Amino acid sequence: MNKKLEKEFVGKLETNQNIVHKICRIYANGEAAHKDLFQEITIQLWKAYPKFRGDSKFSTWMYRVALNTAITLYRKQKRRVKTQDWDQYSFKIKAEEYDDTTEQNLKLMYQAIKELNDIDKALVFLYLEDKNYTEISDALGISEVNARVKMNRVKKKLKELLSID
Amino acid sequence: MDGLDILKKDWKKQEEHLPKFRKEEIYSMLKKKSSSLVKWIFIVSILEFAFWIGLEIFSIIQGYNELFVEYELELTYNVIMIINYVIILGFISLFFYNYQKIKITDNARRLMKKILNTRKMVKYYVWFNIIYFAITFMLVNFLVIQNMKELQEVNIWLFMAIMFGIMLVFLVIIWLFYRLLYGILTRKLQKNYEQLQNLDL
Repeated sequence: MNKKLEKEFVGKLETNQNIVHKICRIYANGEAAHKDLFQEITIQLWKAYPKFRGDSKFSTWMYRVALNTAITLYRKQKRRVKTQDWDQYSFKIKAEEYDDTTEQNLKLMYQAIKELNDIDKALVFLYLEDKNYTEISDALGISEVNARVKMNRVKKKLKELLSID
Repeated sequence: MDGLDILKKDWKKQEEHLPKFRKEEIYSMLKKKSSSLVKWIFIVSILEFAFWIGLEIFSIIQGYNELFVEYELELTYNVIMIINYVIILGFISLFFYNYQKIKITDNARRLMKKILNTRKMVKYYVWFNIIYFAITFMLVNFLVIQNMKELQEVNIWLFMAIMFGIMLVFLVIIWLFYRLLYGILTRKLQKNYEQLQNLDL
């Protein structure tokens, strides 16, 4: 029974793993940290899975658990992220995606996002994922008005961070 | 079009560049140990409960209660002990009640609140124990001095003041220790919770 559940879960996670990777992209620096956070989210998803009733979509449910893990439960590993990790990681993205000025700006944007606090990162993530304000307020537990206000502040903050660089 | 919108376009394009774990890799991740904050809070809290209960047992073995028997205060002692046990059991039940209410599928703010509440219960428990021990410590000292002939000549108030001073030093050390422990465990959580809480930032 447990084996069957495990198989079912792993299958679903494999198909939907992009969601988790995208959260790691926002919250983790470097490949090692990325994998570490991915692993913790996987464990939390698996722990919560028996209670997943299927009355919501698997992916919606995943957003909730994954984001909560990143903001609330996750404790960064004590070891410092090696600069080497970070260089490789950003280099990979650079080689594949960034070759002109717009793309350079994108790189700066990603770097600026890393400077934000956990909650602001969540707002940016949900915005990039095309979630509307009802969904954002629902995920974070704040009012819609407040979600809007906060989002505007994050945008402003990002602009400031970019102009400093 | 502001910066975030440019990013949004790219965000959709990046999907194909994201890493992909194979099923076997995901299987092996399921076997790994979680490093979740809730797990740590649970472990540390259980240790704290155990520590104070251990101290209690130690003081019983050391024969603190015999002093009370000797000075015919047995009844008082028993009443104090029963109240103490009831309160401790109350704290432990409340802790478990709050702990099992933590659900990762809650919204972020509610999840954080529940975790902080669980931890708060332990904090109150610790404060209760510190105060309880401080009071018994002073009481026992007072009884000892009052009833020991050899100590009668010593200035009782001076002796009490010294004892009080020693106690204060201990309390400050314990308090600092808890500030540190509490800080390590919940600093990030507290900060994020305040971010969500603060409506008129």
